[in-house]
Amino acid sequence: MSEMAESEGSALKKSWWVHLLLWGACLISGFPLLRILAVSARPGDRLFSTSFELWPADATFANYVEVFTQTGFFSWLLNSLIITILTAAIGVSLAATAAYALSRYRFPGRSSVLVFLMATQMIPVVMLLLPLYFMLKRLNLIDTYAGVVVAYSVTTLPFCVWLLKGYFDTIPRSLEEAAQVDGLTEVGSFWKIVLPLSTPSLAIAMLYSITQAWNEYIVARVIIQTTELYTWPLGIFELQGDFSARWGVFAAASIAVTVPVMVVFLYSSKWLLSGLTLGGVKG
Amino acid sequence: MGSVTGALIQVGHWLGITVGILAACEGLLYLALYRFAHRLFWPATFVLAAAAWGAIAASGHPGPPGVIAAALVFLVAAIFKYLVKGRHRIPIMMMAPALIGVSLLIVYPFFFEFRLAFANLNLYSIAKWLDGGDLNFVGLDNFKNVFTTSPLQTATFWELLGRTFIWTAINLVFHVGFGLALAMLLNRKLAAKGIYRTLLILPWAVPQVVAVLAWRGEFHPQFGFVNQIISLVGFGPVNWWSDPIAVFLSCCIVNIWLGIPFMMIVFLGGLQSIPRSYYEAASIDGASKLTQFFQITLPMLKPTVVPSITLGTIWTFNNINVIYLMTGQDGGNEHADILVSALYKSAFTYSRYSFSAAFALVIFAILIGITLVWMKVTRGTESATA
Amino acid sequence: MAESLTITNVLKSYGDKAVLNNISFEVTPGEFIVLVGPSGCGKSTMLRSVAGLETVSGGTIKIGTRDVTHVPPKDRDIAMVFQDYALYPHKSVYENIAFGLRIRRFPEEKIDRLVKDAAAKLDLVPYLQRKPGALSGGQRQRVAIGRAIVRDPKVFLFDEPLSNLDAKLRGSMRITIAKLHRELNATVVYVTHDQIEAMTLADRIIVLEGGRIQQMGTPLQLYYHPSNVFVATFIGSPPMNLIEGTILEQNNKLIFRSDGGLEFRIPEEFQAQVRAGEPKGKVLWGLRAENLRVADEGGGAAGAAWEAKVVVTELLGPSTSVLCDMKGHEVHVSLPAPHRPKRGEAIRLEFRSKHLYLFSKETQLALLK
Repeated sequence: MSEMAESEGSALKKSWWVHLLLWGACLISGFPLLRILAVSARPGDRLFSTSFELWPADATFANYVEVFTQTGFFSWLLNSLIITILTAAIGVSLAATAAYALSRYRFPGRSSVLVFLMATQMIPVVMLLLPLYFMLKRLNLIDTYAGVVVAYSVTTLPFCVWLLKGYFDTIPRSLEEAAQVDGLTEVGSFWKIVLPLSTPSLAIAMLYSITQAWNEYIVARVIIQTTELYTWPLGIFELQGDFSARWGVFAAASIAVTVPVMVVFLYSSKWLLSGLTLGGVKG
Repeated sequence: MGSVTGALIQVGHWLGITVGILAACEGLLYLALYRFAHRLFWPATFVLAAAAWGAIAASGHPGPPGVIAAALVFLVAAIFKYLVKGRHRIPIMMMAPALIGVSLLIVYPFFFEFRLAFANLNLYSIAKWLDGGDLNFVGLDNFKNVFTTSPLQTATFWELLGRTFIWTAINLVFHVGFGLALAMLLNRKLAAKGIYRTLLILPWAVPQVVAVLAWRGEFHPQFGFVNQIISLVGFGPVNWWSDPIAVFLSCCIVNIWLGIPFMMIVFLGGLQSIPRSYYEAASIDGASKLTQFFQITLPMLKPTVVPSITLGTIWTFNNINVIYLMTGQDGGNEHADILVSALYKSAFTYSRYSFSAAFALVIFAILIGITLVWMKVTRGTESATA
Repeated sequence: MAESLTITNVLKSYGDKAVLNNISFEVTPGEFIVLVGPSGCGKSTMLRSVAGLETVSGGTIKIGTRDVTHVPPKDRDIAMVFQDYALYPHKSVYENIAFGLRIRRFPEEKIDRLVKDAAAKLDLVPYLQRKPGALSGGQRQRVAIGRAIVRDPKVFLFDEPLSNLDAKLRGSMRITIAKLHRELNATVVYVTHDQIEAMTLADRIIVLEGGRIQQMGTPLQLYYHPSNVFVATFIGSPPMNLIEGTILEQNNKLIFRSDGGLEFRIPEEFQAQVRAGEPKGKVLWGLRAENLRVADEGGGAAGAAWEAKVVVTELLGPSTSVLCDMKGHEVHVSLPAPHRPKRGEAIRLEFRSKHLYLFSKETQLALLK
């Protein structure tokens, strides 16, 4: 008994350095965000303060007011929202049936399709962006939502197929067989049994596409050229571009977009991770 | 309000076109798979081929393209009639939408990239081509230029290649090292573990654009936090925005910061999946903590480590966000550029389209080479441990 | 309504490998047929072909008078119980049972009545609103059966339905299934690898091995008249002992002598049959564990008796299972209550049975009918 208490006591004593290290790591990981938060609350005349203060004594919402009233913040959000929803919806709906076919049927060319899907994850987006840019240009899709959605689908569609296939593989085939014996066709058992059962993985695929599309900058910069169509990353980049003038506004806008994204991400991180491990998902 | 309805109309328009194309494809597939034996199969094919030829001719491309399209229609029809014969109906029809999407989005652009690489499309010739002009053919000139001229302004291909490898190696070492260390710190009974975990994945949760731009601010030579800290310790201010080495270093620091949480979480999952009984057995056998780490933890982590390192390598190699956002501003410098970011800049900042297409294909070849080597290495170690 | 099921010359092969080799059998309306065999023998493939979940490469499958060989499962009017139950995890027990009826667009009140009837038969009424995840293995199994019986299909198919249950539940579920069969008077094809299930449930058993029917008959026919070594060792527990030896002639009578020297005279009633079988070469003597008993003190009158040395014993309560060494042959014996020999003990065992099993080693076929 006393031995146990002793070993627990020493374990506690020993673990102080663990806490110290972890606190250090947390500080580094959270620091830039804290700084941005602090900058966003600074009054305009003290933007370039070199003080180490964590929170300005004369905190103000002025920067936020400016973001919401003087910039295109809400139209950026709207553009981002439309593009994100479309990308997620198209990616998941096209991917679902293909993933099911790959999971359940054996047909010539199946393994090549699977290898191909893997390979697409390796190709840098930038590499395809160039020919895609010309394709979109010829189709007059530059500076449209559709153009951006098309470009985003290059990465999200194969990934969604791969992810959903991994999930479908975990659903026992006997479920569809039971449904067929119960009176459904092969396609019917997919619609009525497998799809409703797969809502968690469909949500993961959605979530993945959403985070991809919502936070994307590099591709959007090429395809969107008019300010009216700017997504929020483009808008924020613009704010930050003239560092001297609008650093506080940039910070405020950053906080305004980051907080909801972060909440969603942290809330769903467990799912997202299980999705990344492909197939480790259970309904 | 007007912008919202305008946006919705635009969205609806394109959705309608997409759905229409897909429905037409599915309809044709249905006929080809279920009615391939019908006596009107060939007449229908003929009508379709004629329609394809007519449509292409009407859109202002007389001659070969229309003939090729019509021939293609006949070829596909023949494949369905004599080879497929209605087999694999369901998977074919289920795969079709995604396959059409993927071939339009990936396969066609990929081949078009080849065509581009052998032409000389640039800022000056683009307008003519867009008006319907033809692409010319310049042979291997672009490929030669990739190796002999700078994709940017001064940085050579070899410089970029070398930096890419250094960049990938540095980032990966720190990602894996810190990720594993943090995972091991977290993989124990600990008060407030959930809070640590949440705080530690913050870099992953914050949108990259925000995170990188915020860091860029911290690296501001005059007002940035980094220089303030350095000066406290007694060093002079470093010009993180222009000093060649400092620029690259700052990009590395930011990317390391961004990538640790992913590795940490992956390793944490891996560590948690190692049954405790192994450690209990090892400690009964008298193995020290260090021995346990090398004899149990590392080998048991291998199934998680190998794929995540593979992914990490590809992501880091292809990472453009950090470098572009840190250095891509107007008047930005090229001391931190790696292959893909240089590709982006040469294509979209300097508008050297055909050159960039060739450059992209060279990068692609390098990637394939790395993959092949990597596959051989992992296969080799697998058979060695098996 | 129960219908007959007629399988004629069914073939199924994957590439060059034949999984079902010319299988033919008939199930009369209301009959309980068990397909039994080791894993990979083709029994599940046969069942799934009847269900329409696999397409056959040749032959015909008829339900009643209707040829369903190329009919999709949904139009065959069959019901199937799967090994892993295959309950829809996102639907309640009620909806799981009702699903087939809903697809067939039964009116709501009829669905309700039928589901509740089926649930009552299977003691599932308290669980109707639960999801399958919240049920025990036995309850899930009953839901799976409920989903099958609610539709009153022409044929019931069971694919190893009890193999995921523990031993005790398996016993009680066997009884439930037997009762249901009697109540519903349904045509049943039941697949299992467990010969006890086969023996207890079946009207007729079909033993499959290597994609071929080895023997077809009532449980007792199979037990007492196995037509080959495979069936003999597969049916019965512990498996039949096989002792290798030869048939010799001695004083005008045939005797069996094992390689180790166990010897007995073929009983009179079998002499003619064995002689007619012209047993050349090696012969396998099949000896069931219960066909040996401890010899009466002072030497038995009838059968042959041999010394045996006890190697391992397993107490089973009413009987003791003994592995012993009889002249170099390892033999399993089941001894009734008073006899509980110890390890190493020497006992004298006597062979006494009206059943004699002799097989040709070469052809593996029974010498006796």
